[in-house]
Order: sequence, then structure tokens, then C-alpha cells
Amino acid sequence: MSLYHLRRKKRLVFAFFIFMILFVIMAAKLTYIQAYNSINLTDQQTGQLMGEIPLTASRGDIYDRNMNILAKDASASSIYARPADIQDAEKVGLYLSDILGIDKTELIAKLTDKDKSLVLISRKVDNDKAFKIKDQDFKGIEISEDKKRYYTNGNFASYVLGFTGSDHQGLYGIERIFDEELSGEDGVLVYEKDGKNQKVPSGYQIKIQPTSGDNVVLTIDSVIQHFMESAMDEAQKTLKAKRIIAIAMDPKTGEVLGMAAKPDYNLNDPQAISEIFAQCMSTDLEGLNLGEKQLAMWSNPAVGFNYEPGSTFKLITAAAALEEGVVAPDTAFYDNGFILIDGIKIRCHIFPRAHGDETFVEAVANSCNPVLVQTIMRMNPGTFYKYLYNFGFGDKTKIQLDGEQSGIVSPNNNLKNASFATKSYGQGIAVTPIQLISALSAALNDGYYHKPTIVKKILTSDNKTVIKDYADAEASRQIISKETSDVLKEIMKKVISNSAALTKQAGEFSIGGKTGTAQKIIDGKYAQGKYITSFFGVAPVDDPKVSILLIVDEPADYSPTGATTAAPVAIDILINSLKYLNVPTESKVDFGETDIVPDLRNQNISLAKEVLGYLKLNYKIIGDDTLEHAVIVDQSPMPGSIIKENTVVQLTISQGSTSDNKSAISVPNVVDMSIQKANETLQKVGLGIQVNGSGGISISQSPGPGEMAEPGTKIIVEFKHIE
Amino acid sequence: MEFIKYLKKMDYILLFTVFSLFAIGISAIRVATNTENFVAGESSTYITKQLVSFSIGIIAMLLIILLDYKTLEHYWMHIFGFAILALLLVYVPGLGIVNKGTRGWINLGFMDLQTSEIAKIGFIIAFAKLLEKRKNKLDRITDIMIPILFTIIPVFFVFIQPDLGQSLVFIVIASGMLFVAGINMKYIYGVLGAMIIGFPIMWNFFMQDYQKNRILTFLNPTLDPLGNGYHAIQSMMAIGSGQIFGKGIAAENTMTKLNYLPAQWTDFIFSVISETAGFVGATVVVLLLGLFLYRLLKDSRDAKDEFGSLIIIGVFFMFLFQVFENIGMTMGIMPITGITLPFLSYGGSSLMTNLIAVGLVLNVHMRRSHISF
Repeated sequence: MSLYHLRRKKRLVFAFFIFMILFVIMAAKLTYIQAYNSINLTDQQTGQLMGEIPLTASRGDIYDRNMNILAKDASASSIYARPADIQDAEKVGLYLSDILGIDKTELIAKLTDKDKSLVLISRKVDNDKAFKIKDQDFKGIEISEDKKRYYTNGNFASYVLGFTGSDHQGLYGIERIFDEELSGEDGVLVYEKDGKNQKVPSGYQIKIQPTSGDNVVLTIDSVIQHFMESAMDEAQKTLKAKRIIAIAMDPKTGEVLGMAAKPDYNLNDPQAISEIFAQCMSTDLEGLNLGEKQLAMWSNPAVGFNYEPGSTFKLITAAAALEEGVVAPDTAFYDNGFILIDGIKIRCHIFPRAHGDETFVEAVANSCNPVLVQTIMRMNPGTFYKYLYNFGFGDKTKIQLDGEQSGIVSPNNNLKNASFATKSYGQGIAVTPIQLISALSAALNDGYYHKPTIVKKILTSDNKTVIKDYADAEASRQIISKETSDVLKEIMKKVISNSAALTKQAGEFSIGGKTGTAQKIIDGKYAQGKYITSFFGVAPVDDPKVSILLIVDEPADYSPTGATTAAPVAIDILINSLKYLNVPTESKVDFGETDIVPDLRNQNISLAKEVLGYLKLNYKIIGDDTLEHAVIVDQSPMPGSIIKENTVVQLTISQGSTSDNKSAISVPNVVDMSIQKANETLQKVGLGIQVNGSGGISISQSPGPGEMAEPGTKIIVEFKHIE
Repeated sequence: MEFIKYLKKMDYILLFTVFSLFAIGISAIRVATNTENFVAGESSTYITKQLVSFSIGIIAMLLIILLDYKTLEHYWMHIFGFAILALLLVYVPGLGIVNKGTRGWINLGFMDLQTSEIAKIGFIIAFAKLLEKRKNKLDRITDIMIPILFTIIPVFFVFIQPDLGQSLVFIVIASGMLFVAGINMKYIYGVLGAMIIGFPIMWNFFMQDYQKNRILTFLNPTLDPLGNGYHAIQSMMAIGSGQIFGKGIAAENTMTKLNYLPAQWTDFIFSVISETAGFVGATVVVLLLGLFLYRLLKDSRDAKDEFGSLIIIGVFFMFLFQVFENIGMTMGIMPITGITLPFLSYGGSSLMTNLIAVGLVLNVHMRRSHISF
């Protein structure tokens, strides 16, 4: 055997060793994976077979006290993408950015992000847009069910309702406070997917249905809210004020009937700062970025605005003093135009004139500062503070709204000094609108204080079961006696009767009130020429049904008063509300039942009058009903709403097309109609129709109702199938 | 009859492992192609094609056996020439076929043939003869240059196709044969040393980022679970979830059924077997492959001459590399390449080549009647 041969044999053995080593490595790894690590890997394997698509739960509805819908979920779509399956990101991106209005480069970055298996492109996409995308049949684009929040009337009660964010979570107002109740529970669709991320047709599929959220019923009365908002919109223009804030309340229960602030924002587009808001609030918004401006716009001043109440606060001082017996209604006072406290001269508002001799009731009705100062000086600071706290000042009312402030009540230092004296007429103390109206309502309600509430009850999603009832959830407490309360009513009646203008405006209604004018404090000093005027009103005085507090922040007049700015607006709202609530006691007919408002659009006026008369519904006509061929083009409330029979139906009329008049036509309201009905209605007044959507019921129109259009104009009406 | 005498001496154990592996392989291919939403064609076509290739391979194997391998040694230069020619055939317009970016196939009408597979056999025969002729000239550097040049030619042509995996097979075959033929150990140490020193230099100065990433994710697949590491992770999940006894052929929701594994009827056939038949099945396959390789080594030792022994060694290293690389990559211990598992993976060219290689081994083994050295 040669040396070479021997070497080859050795090498073969060596090769065998290499082979054995590799073999052992393989066997070891195989054992590790299949025996040692197998349970872990099995879990991973079954885990990756599952695909999940979230199913958004339907958010609960928000209703007013008469079950009119204020906020509702509508079906929408979410668009997702699987970057791994996208074939032409450029093309898909271009199409999607076009239809969804998303930045194209951002979108393409998402579509090409291979690190993610599934990316969210957009939520709350309108279904018609989603269908268009679906029709394109892009590979790797998925569309799933989503919900979109609709507010029946964009700006309506915006500060109360609030809005939701991109994940359908409540961000402000009732939407936020009752987010947990409203949001329901999202469901999920779990399915088996294969190696190409496709659903396996024969695979298992588990659908956990989403649970709809509960419905929230507010104490808001849409009609009163509407009266408030339209009066305030009007006043905003005429008074050129920075802001107007108002709350209406049922003084007997503490239920808020209406709450509004103008300017406000559109709930259906909450990110947009309206021009009027930017203009009115320019001093507050100066130097803020968009986000901060939005925060300023979204916060509810009716609960979050601390201000010096001024003379409306005198009623509180009077309540305390009368209840403590330091004054009687007919206690005689003398006003010489001013009073000295600690060497500080406190003037009456009519200084250098003076009220002279007056009783306590007269003095308060006259809003006489020196008398109120004398009155408060007769009380221990501790006693007065007891009433402040009992009336709820210096503390949150805990109404179900966000952003509430506590007001500012300086601590009691037991000194009868100037700062104590000024509190008697509402200076040196800051309150929020909700605090003040709650306190003053209590003063009128025979002294019984109710915690203010804006929610009546929570219902299950089918409205059948009451989950929680807020009525009398918290017992009321009596702060002052009925006798004191009656004296306060007397004072408030006098305030109106002292003013010829307000008496005339009140007419036959029994209205009481108290005005207030306070110089604004800006940067710690009283600002020249900047006032907050306010008016607290109640009606009917002897049996209060509605109380209202209306605050005008910085009216444009050089020397405004509550009587000239806030009071007329507030009384206007009160009167409308009283009429609506059918309050005039003389001709009281009890309509217990409710009915459905008929569709009067497209009818002539005489028929409408007959129908309404038969249904015992009041109506109000806008437009000239003496014209020939006059046709009703709009009505409010809309047909189908269930309302009380004493509700006023507002009818807008316009001339028919048969008239020779070729000038612009007022566009009728064709929302909630079938295509055929809408077409007929439009034709009757001489307008055309352009149908968008595939049928169903009309959900919107452009131009809107009441706008003017040339004869023959095609009105774009959007139709949608309602499930 | 002389031939009957030879048949009696045939290595039936080797033949048995080959048939067993093929039987397991064809069942696995059936499982791997009979899945939900299978997009690459009909399962039955795969089975038929594989059976046809096997039959042709067996016939080729028998023909090889009939011819005494000793006659081949006279034509070793020609054989080498034909091997290189086969590699160049893919460049003939109308004949050459590009598949997944690699120009490595020719169209034979009824099937596509990967010519580097055939060239491997030719190379093994020719290189065995070369080494036999130069068996005492493997010490000096000038002597070494000839077999190295001889190797570089086919490696170069395969590399430019480009088929990195297949050119690695050539290098492994040549290195293994050189080693067993008795190359001076200093060259082995030299190469190992050069690799250890060279790697950091390559890493820092020559390698592209994507190449580095590929190495990094090979070392730790979880670094890039959806990209480079995806297949390794999926394959390990498939193997691991098979557990001890496997999920069985009828099981729903398997990785195989849902097409999670890439090319599961070829490259990842081992994962399919492991998932379906579990640790037990996988072990059977590994043991069969081990037995097969062991028989090759044994047959090499028993060969009557240098030439025969080196042929078997070439075949041994060819299979050793393929088995270890393929099974290794399914378990994450080797990087993922397109190298198939002998006798088990679907693929006509490689199955036929493998059977021809086995034929060569049987040929050498049958004619081992001892001539004393």
C-alpha cells in the first residue's frame, strides 16, 4: 500500500467526520425546532393564520327632550391598504389622493411601506366614494364598514353636543362626557388568511358583532334652542358683540332647555374656524396657532367663562339679606348717589344723580349700588359667604358638560372692607353663566336649588329601556324661604315695569328680570369702554316655566347697559318659548297628545291652513301668502318629527312657476323626499333637478332651502338608501 | 454472464434509500401542490412530470451501469469539453431559457433541462481522472494551479448565469475531491486562513448593504420578519408546528395548505414533510439521507481504483452539500438559496442528474473486483 493510498484513506475518514459533524448539527437543530420549540412555533403559526378587520360599533344617538334626533351615526367606510399587494403605488396613490383629498406623497409613502402588512388610509369615508374606489378593483386595497357621525344641523347646539374624532371617540361636549355610554363596543371579523394574505374561502370566520352604544336624551328642547340661536345670531349682528352666551332653564327642575354661544362652529366640520368666529374673537385669537385657536373655539363659554356678573348678582345679595332678616322688603333706605367704605367712594350707576328715598325692593329694582352696599354691611361676612356657597358659587355645578370652571370667589377674610362691599353688586367675584342661572333659578323656585342638568336619561340603543334617569337624580335643597323667593319675584317684576321699553316688549306675558352691566377686567384692570352686559329673565313670574340668562360680551356701543342690549334679546326668546309652551294662562287648552307633523311642502297655503287647523297646530308664515299660486317651499320642523300639538309650524312660501314673474325663486326644501316627489316639488316652482346617488331618500340639496335661484336652475339633490 | 455477476455485487442499500426517498418525495409533492388556491398549476401534472423524470432517470442510470466506467477515463478531456459546451448551450438563442433571472436552462421540447446539473456529472468524471493522473503532484503551488484552473472554468460559466448556489456546488465538489485526492494540508489551512482574514475586509470594503443585510438576516431572521427573514421564519414555523407526529395529510389550516411556504414543492419540501409527518417523519428522511451519504463514502473506500473512488467522492460532496444546504436553510442554519433536496424535491433535471450520479456510483461499486495495488 503506497503512502499516497494511505493518505487517501485518512482523508476519507476525515471526510466521514465532516459528514458526521454536519449530520449532528442538522439533527440537533431539527430536535430543537420540532421538539423543544414546537409549542411556541405552533402558537405563532396559528396566530399568523388569523386576519382581523375591526367593525366599528354604531355610536348612540343624541336626542332632545322630545326625542328629536340631534346627532346620529350613518354608515361609512374605512379604506385600508396592504402595501405588499399594491402593484402600482403611483397609480393607486394618485387615484386615492384625488378622491379622498389626502396628500399624494404621504399616501404613496403609506402604500409603499413594506414594513406594515396593513395600513389605514382613511376612515369615515362616504360610502359613495368607497364604492368608486371599490369599482377600481385595486389589488391590496380593502374597504371595511365604518361609521360617520352626522349632526342634523351643523351649528345647532354645537357647544352642548360636541363632536367626535377620527376614531369615533367623543372629543367635546356630550359626545365626550358620555363617550363611554355612546360609544358601544366595537366588533371584529376574524378570518383565516393564507400565505398571500388572502381570505381562505373555506376557512373559518368568526364575526363578533359590534354592540351599539346607548342613546342619550338631553333636556334641551330643540325649539327653544332654535329660538335662542336665531335670536342670538341676529343680536350678534346688530350689537356687534364679541360673543353672546345664553342658557335657558326650567327653574323647577334645573333642566337646561337651551344653551348656546355665538359665534360657534360647525359640528359637521369642527376643524374649520369660521370667518365670523375669527373676526369676532380676533382679540382672543391673536398670536395663537391653528390648534390653539381651535381649542379656544371648542370650549363652551356657558360653563367655562368666568366673568364678573354685575347687577344681576344683586338678587343674591337681596336673597341673603331678606332671608337673614337684616332688611325687610319695605325697609327704607336713602341713596345720595354714593357711599364711602374704607375711604373708597362707591358710586351709584346714576351718579352724580341719586335715587333718594326708596324701599329695599325699589332699591334693588333700581339697581342702586349704595343701598346694596349698606345691606351687605349689615351682614357678617361669614353669613354672606354661607349664602354664596349654598347658591353654588365658587364651585363647579357638575353639569354633564366639559370644561366647566368654578368661578372665582376670594376667600372670606371676615373683613367688612371695600372688596366685601363690592360683592353686593357683583364686583370682585367671578361666576360662570351656568352657576348664575342655577342660583337665580333656585332663588325663584321657592328657594329650592336643583343641580343643573342637561341630560334627561340614557336609553338602550333601541330606545326601549331606560338605563339611567337623571330627573331628580339629586334631591334639591332649600336655600331661602318661599317668602324671600316671593319678594325676589316682586323685585324682578318691578325691573320690567320700571322700563317702558321692556314692559312694551313683554306685552301680555308676565315676565320678571334683572339686568347687569359690568366693566370688563382685562389684565387685572377695569378696561375702559369694554363691558359685559347681561340679563336674567323669568316667565311667568308667579309660576316660572322658563328662566334665561343672556350675556353679551363686549357689545360695540360705547356705553351699553343690560337693559338695552341683553334684555330685549332674552325677552324675545322668552316670549317665543312661552308661546311655544302654550303658556298664556287665559286660553289654556291641554293638548296631552303628540302627533306627527304633516308634509306641507308643495301644497298651497289654504290647504295647509286647513290641515294645521284640523291638527290644532299653530303656524307661522314667512313670505306673502296673498300671492296667487303661492306654494309652501319649506317648513320647520320637518315632516315626520313627533312634536307637541302646540308647536309652531313655520311655513315658507313662494310664488309658483305659473307666475309671470321671472325673477329669482326661493328654493324649496326637498330633503327627505323620494326622487319623484322632489322632482314634482321643484317643477312646481319652476326649477329643475339633478339627481346624485342611486335612489332612496334625499339627504341634502344644493342650493339649500330658502336660497334664491334663477328659474330653471337645476337643484343638485343627493339621494341615499336609508337602511 | 458477467453482467449477472455484477448485478449481485450491486449496492442495493444505496438503491433502496434512493427509492424510499423518491417515494416520500412524491407523496410530499402531492401534499405541497394539492392546496387551497394553488396557483402554479395542477397537482396531477406535477406528479406525472416527476414520475416521467424518474423513469427517464432510471433508464439513464441503467445505461450508465452497463458501460464500464473504466472506458470513460479515456475520454475525460472530451467529457470536460462537453460539460463546458452544455453550460454554453444556454446562450444559444431559441434554446436557452431564462428563469427567475438565471439563464440556466435549455428547452428540450418536452422539458426544460438545467445544463449545469448535467455538467456537474461531466465535471466529476473529468476532474476525477485529472486528479488520478496528478495524484503525486499535489504539493507544489504550480501543481495545484492546474486543478484550480480546471475548476474555475465551469464555476465561472455557472456564476455568470448567474447561479451562485450551483457554482458553490461546483466549488464544494472540487474542494472535496482535491482534499480526498491528497492535496497538501497547507493549502487547506491557507484557504481557511484567507477566509478568516478576508471576510472582515470584504465586509467593510466590498460588500453592498443588501448583501450585508442578507447575511445579517440569515444569522437572525427576526431582524426582518417580513422581508429577507420571512421565508426562514415561515419555514421554521411550519417545521416546528409539525411537532412530534405531524399534522397528517388531511389536516386543514396547515402552512402548506395555505401556501405560506415559498416554492414548497421544491426548495422547501423538507418543511412540508416536517409539518405533515412531524419529527418522526423528518427523522426518517434525515436518517435515509444519512444512510445514503454513508453508503457513498463506504463505496468510495471500496472502489478498486483511484479514478472510481474519486468519482464517488465527487458525488458524495455534491449530495452532502445539497442535503446540508437545503435542510439547513429550512431550519435557519444556512442562508436561503435555490438548491433542492436530492430525490425529494420536485424538478426533472436535478432528479435525472441525481439518478445518473447514483448510476455512476453503482457502476464503480459493481466493478470493485480487487486489483491489488
